Amino acid sequence: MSARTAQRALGSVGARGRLVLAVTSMIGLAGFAWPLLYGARRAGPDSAHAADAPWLFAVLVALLLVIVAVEHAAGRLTAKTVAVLAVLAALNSVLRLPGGVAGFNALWFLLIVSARAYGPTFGFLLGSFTLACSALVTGGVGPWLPFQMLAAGWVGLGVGLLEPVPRGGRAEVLALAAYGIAAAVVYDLVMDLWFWPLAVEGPLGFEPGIGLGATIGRFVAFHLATALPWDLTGAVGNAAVLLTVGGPALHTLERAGRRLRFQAVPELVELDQPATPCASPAAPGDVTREAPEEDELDRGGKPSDRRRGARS
Amino acid sequence: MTESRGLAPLHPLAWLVWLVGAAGVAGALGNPVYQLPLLGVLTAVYLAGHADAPWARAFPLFLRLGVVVLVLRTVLAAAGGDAAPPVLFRLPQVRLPGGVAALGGPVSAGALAGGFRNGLTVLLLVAAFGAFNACVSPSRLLRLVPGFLFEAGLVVTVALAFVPQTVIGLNRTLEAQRLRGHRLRRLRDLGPLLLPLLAGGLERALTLAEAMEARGYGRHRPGAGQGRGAALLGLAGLIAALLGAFALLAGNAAWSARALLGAGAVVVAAAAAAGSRRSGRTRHRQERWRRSDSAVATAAVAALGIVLAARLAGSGDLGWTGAAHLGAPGFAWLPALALFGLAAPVAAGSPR
Amino acid sequence: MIRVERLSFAYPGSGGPALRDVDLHIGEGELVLVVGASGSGKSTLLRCLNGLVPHFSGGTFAGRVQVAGRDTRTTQPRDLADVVGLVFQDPEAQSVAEATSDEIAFAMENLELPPAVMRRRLEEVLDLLHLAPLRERQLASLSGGERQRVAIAAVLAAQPSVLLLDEPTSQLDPQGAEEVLGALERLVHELGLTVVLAEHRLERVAGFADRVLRMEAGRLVGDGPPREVLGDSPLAPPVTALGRLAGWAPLPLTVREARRQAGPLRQRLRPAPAPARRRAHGRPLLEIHGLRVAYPGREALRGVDLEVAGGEVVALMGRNGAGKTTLLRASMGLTPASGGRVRLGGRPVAGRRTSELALEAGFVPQDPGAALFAETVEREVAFTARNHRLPRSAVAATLEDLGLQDLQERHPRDLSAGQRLLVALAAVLVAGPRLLLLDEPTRGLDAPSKQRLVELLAGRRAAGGAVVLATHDVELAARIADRVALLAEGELVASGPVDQVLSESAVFSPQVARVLGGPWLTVAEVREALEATA
Repeated sequence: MSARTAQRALGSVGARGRLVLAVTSMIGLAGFAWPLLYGARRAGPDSAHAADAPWLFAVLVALLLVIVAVEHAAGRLTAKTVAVLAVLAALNSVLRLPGGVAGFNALWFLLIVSARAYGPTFGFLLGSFTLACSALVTGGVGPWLPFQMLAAGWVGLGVGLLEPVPRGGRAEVLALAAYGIAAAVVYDLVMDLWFWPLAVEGPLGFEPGIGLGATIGRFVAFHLATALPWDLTGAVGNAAVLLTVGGPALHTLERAGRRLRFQAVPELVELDQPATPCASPAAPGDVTREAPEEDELDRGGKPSDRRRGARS
Repeated sequence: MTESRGLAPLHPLAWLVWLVGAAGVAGALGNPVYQLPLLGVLTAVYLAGHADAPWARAFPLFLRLGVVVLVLRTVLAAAGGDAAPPVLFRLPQVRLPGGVAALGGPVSAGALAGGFRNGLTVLLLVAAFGAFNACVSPSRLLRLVPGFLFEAGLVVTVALAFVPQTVIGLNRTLEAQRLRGHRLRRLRDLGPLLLPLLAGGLERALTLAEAMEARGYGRHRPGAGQGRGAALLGLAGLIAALLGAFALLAGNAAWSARALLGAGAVVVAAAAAAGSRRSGRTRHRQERWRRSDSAVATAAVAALGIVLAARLAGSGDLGWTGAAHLGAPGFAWLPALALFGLAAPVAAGSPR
Repeated sequence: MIRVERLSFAYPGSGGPALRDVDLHIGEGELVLVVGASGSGKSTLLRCLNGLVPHFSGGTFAGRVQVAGRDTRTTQPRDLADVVGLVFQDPEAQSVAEATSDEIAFAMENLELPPAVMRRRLEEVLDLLHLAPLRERQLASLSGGERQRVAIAAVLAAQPSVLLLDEPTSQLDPQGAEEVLGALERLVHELGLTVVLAEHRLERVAGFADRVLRMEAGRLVGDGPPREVLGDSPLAPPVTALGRLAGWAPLPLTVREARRQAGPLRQRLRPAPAPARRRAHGRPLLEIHGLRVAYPGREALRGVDLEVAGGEVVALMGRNGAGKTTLLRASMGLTPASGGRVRLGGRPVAGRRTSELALEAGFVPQDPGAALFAETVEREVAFTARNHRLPRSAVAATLEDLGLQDLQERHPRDLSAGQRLLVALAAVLVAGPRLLLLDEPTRGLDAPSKQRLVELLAGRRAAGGAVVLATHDVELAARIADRVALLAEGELVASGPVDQVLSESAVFSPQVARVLGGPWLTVAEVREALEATA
């Protein structure tokens, strides 16, 4: 059995699921980018409400996350997916603690690798859960949390863009490292975009009616001044970790995924009619062979790479 | 882990209502005469109610963030070069490359006061969240997760429980590798630390999943057809809400925008309700809602109501009308009293 | 109650069947013990009884299993939760909640019981397992034995008629194990629960099982009353092996039964020479004088003295929290000493780097698998070799010494507990230390693995090395230790030759000593003595 088929921890995502993710992402983008759009418009008669915008959009984005949860999580998470999501979210949260792992900054590494191993939808959920868990652990729940959860979800979801890269081998790790840099930069950019209207006003802030170009220019100035040096070191750090540890981490996740058998479909053999299996056709990822006769169990199938469970 | 140090712990929903009230009031105020006492109220609530646990130590950080924003906004507002009198002093003017903006120039009192006031608003909002975080434990907060999001809440609950084990595991692995002569010098030395943690965690996940299944998890799983519309319905409502929000912010067609906003909210609520009918899971323990909880919730709602009414009516000196010339800010008794409504958590509940 | 017909099962992608043609029938209210070496199919059999196999694991399933009338082929494990429950080995990995009562309520919430019923059942289950005072405690603050009892309570909350337990005491200290087994006995007698228990540590359980099933390589090779099945099995508690040796009938399963028949044997042994005890030779490898270790709030060690020289095995024993692990860690400099001296290889430990100390003493901490990360066993050992700049030949030599050549290309995490321990041992022994420190190595080990460990340690002793072994396992200490140091509350309360310390202690004496009195500690010694006098 090739180890290189993608494992979809959440099962196949239907058209409706994809639509929900796409629409929520677009709305979420608006929730981040409203200052830019706002700046592009001409000033309206009552611009005092602009100050309320961040909080309004916080509620909006929170509701967005609820919608995604309703579509993808409610009633659809099996015990296996709950357990794996929880464990990985906890690990991610520990990696995000101040001080990181012995001083190394490894924020996105595990999320990206997990999304690659278990599917982009899984990655979206994992990103959101990670930030939620992280906020609860550090006591840092604030109006930024829905935005962080959404942006982290995007980091996980975006790994789906790397689907065409063949699995196993150097190309995959390089692609993940490149994605790691991009994702870190985009995340920081997007969270800075959230922070910008709160933190500044006046010449560096956004004002309605100055035009899109000027607004973007002001934001870029703000971003460069405040965050970019840290962003870049963080991004490069992530890429470095992915390059060195990413491959073995992927192996570990894929191995565990095989052990867990997210879509386990048992083959039930009737002893009286040896040639006819009882169950539905085995899912990809199960041993696909014809119905074994009774003593084929003794002969044993193909020589394995010894992935049999280590239980007694 | 102890809860609040001296109070009978308030119901987390009461805290949530308090948070909404405090955040709403903080956002609606623009007058330092009210804002500064509010800061005092929030700090008092924190001091009285914060728990003695690792997640309750972030309040100073929240304050620090708020102060940074305050300073940033004040300074940047002053650097906006507003020539409106009275002008306090003049700074040299610097044009940023690309003609993006010009910094410096005359510093007007109005701009300074405006920046200060806006910065205070952000500080207050952040402080409200900080106090909330310090007073409500994460696990009790998670009990508020509604039934239709049970699985999502479960993931976060289990993850929270797993974090301390992970930290212990990390230390153990660190030591065990040191005992094998491993030293952490380069990036590639991270592998022997992270990989066992990952593998061990996933093995735990397997056992956990078995244990959950063996105890009946997932017994009531709705069929694939149910709830089909809920998410899409919710999305439609959110799009409506989004458009309404943009319209409102742009200041155009305020009433139709408000209606759109309201309609969007209703649709979202309907979608949520549709989702909640799906799960049949019962809950064994509902936290008791005591009188102190009602008191705190009512006080917070009342405070918010008073302030919003005053704002709509344009009375109460909520904004600092004299800001432009650094005139004395106005003061009215009613909004001030409303602030003390937000101090209810300090008084409510008897010490244990 | 449980009916298994011609059950065969193979895990997906595995090389062979895990269970072959198992037939059995378990009636209501029986307490059944399942024994067998690791890999014999015990865990798989248990999981077949609650539906986890085949629905959770996938694989090829032949035959039929019926539990309380329900067929596991067509019923999912979650739908069997109200008739059969399963408790796992690791107390920490099974919990979903932070507080005890929430943990117990999880199953009931899944069953969608009304809240009033839930509250009533919660109280009942807390009383059944004597957990009432722990009701609102956080799970993380409970001991291992308490957590396992909570796990049992969490499963019983669904009121199943069958309770399955997969090595529930293997991660626990003796006190915790007693709590759990005592609770099980009570449940069987008071509730009439059907209990199927897989265990390695038979000393406590053999006495109250109604029936024993013995598994070997996936086949059921023994099924009957304990005396019958354990009587001719190599996996038997020491008293039973002693009875076999002395020809007692009926074969004793507990110390009490053995004492009744022990009189003549004691007479026979009186003229026999006492078993020879080894004395250390060679220079001291580890010297500890007046060691004090303080953690914030308490003193873990108060003035402990210990000297270990080449050619001996020292067992550190004591209750949980007595300071055994702290002593081992202080010997390696992992925990700083607040007083006293620790010398390793003649030089003080303080100020030396761990990687340097690892060349003198190899320390295998609890949970040896926690540090394994490589893809193959060989690479795992090579990792240590590279850290110490040792040649590749050292790796091959170490693997051979430990008998791991056949497992070289296996993934370390796929191995059984006993094999993982050997890999962990190889990973520290490749550095060539003369002293070996082991912290609770017998967790989860089956009898053959323990025998391997004993042989290994004896080999190192014979070659002039030394071993310090912190363990709860009295039988193991009796077999391999030359000296025993007993710790309590951070102080050394007894230290001396093994026969002296173990037979004098009421709590820490092996079964043979309890039956025959000192100086006899193991069946092997009695056998040698009988042969000598014959």
